Amino acid sequence: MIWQFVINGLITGILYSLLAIGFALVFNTTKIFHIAAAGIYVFAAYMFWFFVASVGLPVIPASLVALVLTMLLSLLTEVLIYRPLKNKKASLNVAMIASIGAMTVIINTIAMFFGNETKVIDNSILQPLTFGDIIITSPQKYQALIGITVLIIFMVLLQRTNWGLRLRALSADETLFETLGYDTKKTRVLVFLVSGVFIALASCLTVYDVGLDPNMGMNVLISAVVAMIIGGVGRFSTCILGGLTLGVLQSLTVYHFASNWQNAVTFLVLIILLFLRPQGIAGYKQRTV
Amino acid sequence: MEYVFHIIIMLNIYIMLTLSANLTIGMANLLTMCQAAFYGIGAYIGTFFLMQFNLPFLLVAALVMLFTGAFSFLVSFASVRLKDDYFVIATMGFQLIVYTILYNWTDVTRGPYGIPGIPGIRLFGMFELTGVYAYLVLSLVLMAVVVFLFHHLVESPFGRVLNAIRADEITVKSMGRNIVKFKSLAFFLSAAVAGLAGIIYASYVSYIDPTSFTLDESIFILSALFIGGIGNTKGPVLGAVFVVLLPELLRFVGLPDSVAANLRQIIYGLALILVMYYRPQGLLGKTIMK
Amino acid sequence: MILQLKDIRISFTNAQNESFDLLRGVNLDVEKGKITALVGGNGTGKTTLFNIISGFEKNYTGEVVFEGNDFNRIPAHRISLMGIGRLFQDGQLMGGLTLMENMKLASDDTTGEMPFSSLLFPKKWKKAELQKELQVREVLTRIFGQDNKYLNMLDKDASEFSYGEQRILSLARLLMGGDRLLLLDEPTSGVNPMYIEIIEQIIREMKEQEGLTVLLIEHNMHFVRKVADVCAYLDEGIIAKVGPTAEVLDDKNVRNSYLGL
Repeated sequence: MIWQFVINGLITGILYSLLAIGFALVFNTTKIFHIAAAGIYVFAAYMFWFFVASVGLPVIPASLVALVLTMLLSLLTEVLIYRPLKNKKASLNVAMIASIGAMTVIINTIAMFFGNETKVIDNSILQPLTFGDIIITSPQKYQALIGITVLIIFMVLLQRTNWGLRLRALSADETLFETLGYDTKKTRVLVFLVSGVFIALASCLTVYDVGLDPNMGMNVLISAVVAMIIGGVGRFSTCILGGLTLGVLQSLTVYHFASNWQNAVTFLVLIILLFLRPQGIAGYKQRTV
Repeated sequence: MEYVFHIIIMLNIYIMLTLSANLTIGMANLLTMCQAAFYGIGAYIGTFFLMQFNLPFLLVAALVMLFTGAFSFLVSFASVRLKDDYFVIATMGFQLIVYTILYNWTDVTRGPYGIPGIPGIRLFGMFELTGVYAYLVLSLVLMAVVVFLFHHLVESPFGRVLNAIRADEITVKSMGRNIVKFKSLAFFLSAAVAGLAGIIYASYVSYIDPTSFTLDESIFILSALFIGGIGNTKGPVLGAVFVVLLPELLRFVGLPDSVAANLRQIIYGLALILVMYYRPQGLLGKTIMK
Repeated sequence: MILQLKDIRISFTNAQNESFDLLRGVNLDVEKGKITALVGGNGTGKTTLFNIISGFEKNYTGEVVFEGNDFNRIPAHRISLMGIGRLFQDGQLMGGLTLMENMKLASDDTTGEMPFSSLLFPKKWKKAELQKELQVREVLTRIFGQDNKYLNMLDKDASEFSYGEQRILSLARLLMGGDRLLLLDEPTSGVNPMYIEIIEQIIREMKEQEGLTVLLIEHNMHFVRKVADVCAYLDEGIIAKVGPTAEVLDDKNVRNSYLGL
């Protein structure tokens, strides 16, 4: 029985990892606490649902359309909000507050068009896999397969390509990055597009399983941010470590207590960790001058 | 007329909330996302005192402010150890934990069913306040007192130290000021006043449930504060006026309720973005978030 | 001896999780009423040493003794009240506050700073504020002379002053606290030559008119030669050489290892 929960937790953890990377791409490179990601996540879910349920596309093309639209929305937040603020030399807190505004606008626009009630995407035709006692439902199978594949591809690209190098360099030091002759503006466009991919993937894979409502974004985003922090801020591989840890932890909370205490336990762990080891599981302590 | 009074009472409550948030966010640059948690703690603790004991209002208010203020030490403790975004996420965590407890600790809070039939407030233990008129007067008086005191705080040497902490914490420390003490005092006063707003709200509407004290509510208070402006008194007051009156204006336009609720949120969001771009100190504010 | 550092050691962990010893037993006696310059290469731990003295860095071993008091475990704000003032690297005035407010905050007198205390005891508070205002004017007069322009700019927001002006005003601000030892972290960095001369004068006056002891970190050797009485050379985590300024700066080993001559 407990192994079922561990497996569920790991699969949820993969989804957290995806969203955490979507958030970290923006956070590490721009240092903006990208709360609008919660809105973008909800947007992706509703586009997916819209093209499946209303337009009648099959699941895979619908998710691809949703993915492209999400990338565009992600880019829009950069072009319409973050970049103008950066040009005005606004502080990061100011950018974050504007980001809260963007989240509010996106989520309520969606709610206005699609309503506040929960919607589901039909996934009933598919058979689950069983290994002894352990059941892996069909959506979970997709979540695991697609999630792991994407994470592996991303990590390889990050380590092996010039693009990955630029991303890591921008995360480390923007001034140095520009001194070396790279264009921050262009790289940020790329960052937001890729961030959109990860947010859309996390969103579509999740709502295919559990359905969607306009207010789900903030809760998931917070879990992803917690995953990023417990993994260790500043890198991308740590998001996966943190995501899996958090997924299993939440799942075991459900196993031992009840699902409605999940949030409290998540944050208790986060807060304890922040106090004991502010640099995260895999981070390091730096000298501050 | 009762409808207008209702709006004024809610306005008074929100003025207290935005002013309380301004003390930490606007003055000391400590971005918290848990004002609604203190608002809720105040409401629930106040409800407990009102329903269990037959205490005069001033005593209940003092107890509520003291207890709610005591909870603020959890946040000020975090502010000492955690910087910037870590602090923000920790305050979000505090907000979510408080909400989870209010929602799930059903033996005490009745969880999602809420607590109905909260009695009115007793002034000096004698006559019970009932009806909209009584709360109108009470909330107006308390709002005026809070505005006066917080205006004083902003202008006083205490406000000067908070302002300096916002500008350069380390230099203030090197000048011999105990940063932890000042931040804790700011959090305490901020939480206490949010708690006071909570007890007025609980007793006025006579029913509370956890959904009034969510992270969304904290973000709502934050939006009001930043639209109005931070760092002085008139900014937060204007912010409260804006968010409380806007829905009523939309009602005049005659939008259906289902659309109006979302539309006003969209307007708040847009206002927040535009204000951050064109006037980051807020419409009437004085300082800009660092 | 106003300040004694005894066997100060501190280590840090770097990005590769390796521990390295930044300070490996610093011993230094700072003489009362003199200007001592602390020189050494970048990253040798000069600012860390300042952090240790002023209480901002607590994870060290060894002893800091100021006027006979052991400083271990005393928090930074208390150390400041005990008579040590500090100008930070790139230290400026606090923007968003007026020059007057900047100066007033530097005073050790905290009357009225508790919430509502100025409401409850208005007389006491007003008297203290008035006293501070007088002190501000007096300090500015002492440093910049009679009828200097800053006396008319007290209500100006600090961020409106130029960088160089902010630096000299920050130095003047240090005189508000009644301190006996001043730690100045690179007072001349990023400042144009005109202000460097003023800074030199101010530091001299601090010693000669105010009788203060100054310990300063400086990379401008020309400046060090002009103002410092004593020079201490920090290298490889220890004070490798200490003595009269000219002697230290002309020392063959110092010139080799630090100045690269």
